[in-house]
Amino acid sequence: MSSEDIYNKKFSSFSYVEVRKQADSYRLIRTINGEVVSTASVLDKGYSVRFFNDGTLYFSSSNNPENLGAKPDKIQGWEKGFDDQSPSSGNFRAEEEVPISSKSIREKEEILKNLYQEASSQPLHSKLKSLNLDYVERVEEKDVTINGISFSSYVPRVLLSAVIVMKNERMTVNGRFEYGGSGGLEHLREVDLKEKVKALDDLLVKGKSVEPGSTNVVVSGNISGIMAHESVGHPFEADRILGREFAQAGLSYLTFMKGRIGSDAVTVIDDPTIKKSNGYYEIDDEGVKAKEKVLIKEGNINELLHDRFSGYRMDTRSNGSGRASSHSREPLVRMSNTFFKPGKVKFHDLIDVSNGVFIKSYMEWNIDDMRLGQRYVGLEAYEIKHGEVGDPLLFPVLEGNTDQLLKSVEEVDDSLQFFPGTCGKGDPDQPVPVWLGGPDMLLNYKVRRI
Amino acid sequence: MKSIQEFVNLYKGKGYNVAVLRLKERRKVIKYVESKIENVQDIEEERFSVMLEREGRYGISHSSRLEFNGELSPGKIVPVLSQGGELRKEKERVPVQVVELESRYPTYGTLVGVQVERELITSNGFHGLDKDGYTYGYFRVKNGDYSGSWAFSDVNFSKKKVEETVRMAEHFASFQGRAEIEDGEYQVVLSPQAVGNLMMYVANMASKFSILAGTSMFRERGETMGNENITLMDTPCEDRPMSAEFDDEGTHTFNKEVISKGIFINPLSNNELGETTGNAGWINPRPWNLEVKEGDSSLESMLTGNVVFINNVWYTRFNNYSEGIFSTVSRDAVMVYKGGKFVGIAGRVRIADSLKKILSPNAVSKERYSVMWWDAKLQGVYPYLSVNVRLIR
Repeated sequence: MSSEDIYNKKFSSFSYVEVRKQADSYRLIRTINGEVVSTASVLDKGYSVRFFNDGTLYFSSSNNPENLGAKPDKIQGWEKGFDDQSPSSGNFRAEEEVPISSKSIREKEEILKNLYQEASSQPLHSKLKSLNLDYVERVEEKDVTINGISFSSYVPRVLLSAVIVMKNERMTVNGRFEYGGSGGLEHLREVDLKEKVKALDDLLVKGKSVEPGSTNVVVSGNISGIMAHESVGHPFEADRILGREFAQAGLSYLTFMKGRIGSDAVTVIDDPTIKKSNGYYEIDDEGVKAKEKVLIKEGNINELLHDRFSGYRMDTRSNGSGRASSHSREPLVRMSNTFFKPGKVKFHDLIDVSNGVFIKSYMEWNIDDMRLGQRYVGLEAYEIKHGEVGDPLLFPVLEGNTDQLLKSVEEVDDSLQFFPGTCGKGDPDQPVPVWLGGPDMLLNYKVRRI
Repeated sequence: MKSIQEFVNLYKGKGYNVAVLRLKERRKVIKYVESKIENVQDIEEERFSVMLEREGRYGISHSSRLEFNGELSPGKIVPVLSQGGELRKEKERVPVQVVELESRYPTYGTLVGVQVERELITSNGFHGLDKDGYTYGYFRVKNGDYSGSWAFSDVNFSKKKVEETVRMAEHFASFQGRAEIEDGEYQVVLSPQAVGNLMMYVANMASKFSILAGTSMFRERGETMGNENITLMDTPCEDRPMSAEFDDEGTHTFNKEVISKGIFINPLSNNELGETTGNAGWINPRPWNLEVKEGDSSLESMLTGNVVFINNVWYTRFNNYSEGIFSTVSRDAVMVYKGGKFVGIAGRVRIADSLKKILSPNAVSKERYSVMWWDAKLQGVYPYLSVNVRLIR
């Protein structure tokens, strides 16, 4: 049964209705030290409806479309209304350069085994205790009808997650790295685990303590990406500012901060329409056409992420940020691909300082529930000496409030790197695929020891 | 459509070891914003998980239909099914109802009711059916710049429980005034909610699969991981949310101490990773629900001296799983006591330390609470713990 049939049959009397038929099919392969420990396939298929009645949203989902429905209670709810812009119709799909189906499961298992072989057979001074790989291919298919107007989508994705544990007589280090996006197996070309293992080996052997205090801190696109996501993307979700997520992931500093929150070098964008991206879509799950959103423009707060309900409440329009992770989850205000906009200078211009710290990747990170106080603990990190990247440093910690960090950005280079992530939000929790990204950035900031 | 037993027989006849786990869940979620109902969700799902194994090659498939849509691969570890038997448990529980909240502060949160049917049939002749249900709620109240939170979980819904939980959240939100603290080592009292968040990570690391994968601070049975004040149990046989009569391999579950007076004595296991503890998970064993044994202290006595009380934590992340090095961020009331006297709220702080310090409390309360909340999804019964840890701003 199509989403349109369900809409016409049961739900067309409500002023706002979404009906979604969604199938997510996955294949997973897990290896430990080059040996397959688990293969699984998942078909998560079902239907949902969400409608608005007297200030309350009612959501119902089931594997069986006949079971959809909810009886509105006699309550006056919190919602005020919805943005009634016309839904978009049509269909969109993400193209696979190297189709997922072009290789068998056996061949994919061999790829994972080879990645381990390549990383573990190089000369190392420390012990590679474990290298665990989780490979996930996922195809997301949606058929959605909003107030009688329908669209469909087909988005395949590939994700490879690696956890590395290495040890020498000094200590143990853990690293976690992810690769992937929408499309096909072409994303596996980006995997550089051999280099990552070598970098952690160098860290164990040569890593030295970081000198705490103010310095020139250059962060890679990996760090600028997680900052864009955690300290800009999340607090710019309008439903958080309104308090809808207060009991879950918290509020936002935008409940009290206005105007300028970063230096002129800071422009942060969320854009779902980037081809090959992990957070790719063209129409959101409320039927609103997706577009680029400039959240911070040259240091100034510019635009929030909205769905139809936050848009109405804040007297504006949805900008196509409503996403649901599966048929059994309601659309929420979500990020897609969130990144700092690159600048014009080169990386060597950023490190052209007498001394400093270059943080290339991180392991531990977190942020408070106002999205102000954050902490990133460097994993691959190096000293900068006389304009050159030098010896590895042990776990420099970058900590501070969002506005302090964003105002300390002096320059950003012309590179743009993206990393896949899985963003959590809502109750029940719903993880959605995103990209986090940015250029290398120079901050005049402070570091501390772990 | 074939019955599960017919499906199992079909593959058994072809020489496979086969297990089918049917999980049917009805979940009602009521979401509150500013003391009003924002959203009511009715989520119904039925999923068939199928494990097929023959001659050391196996595969797992999950689908809303009874089918096997995976492929068999030679695995380093292969699921091993327990011998046959029959188990049946059907519990009638009071289901969750939509309630309107009354509070002196704006209240936010979710109230969740779950009805679960879990059925396992294996080619070794095991047939288990477990029908049960539970309710949990988590409420956070806002008193201007201050906030407080509390959570509950129970097998039955009761409006009184919801009201008591909101009152507790109000209590923590009612403390006002600012107090500054510097970075350093403190005696910290963690609430049962915060303990729930941290014990979830401890219990997951106690899985033999985590140990095998190197992502655990545990190494082997018998190692000292904390002090004699801490005993952590996995309690699937208690009349509590998320309890279970049998695991995914058809082994009867039983209560067990995972950490006994600071000693790691029971790695959580399934058949294929060693002596089973009734915690399968095909391949990956997992805890069912948790309990930290009560101590003999009162909360009042734990707050004497110079103490920081933390109402809740979230966003726990590890720099090093192998050593248990982590940080976590406080939320809601961080209450500073000097000489046993409340002097103010410290705002958001971070605990940055080792989990081994959390497992070495200097006092454990007699009073315990059954909690489950948004960032502690594993149900547990927890006391207040007084620990010495590093706080940073």
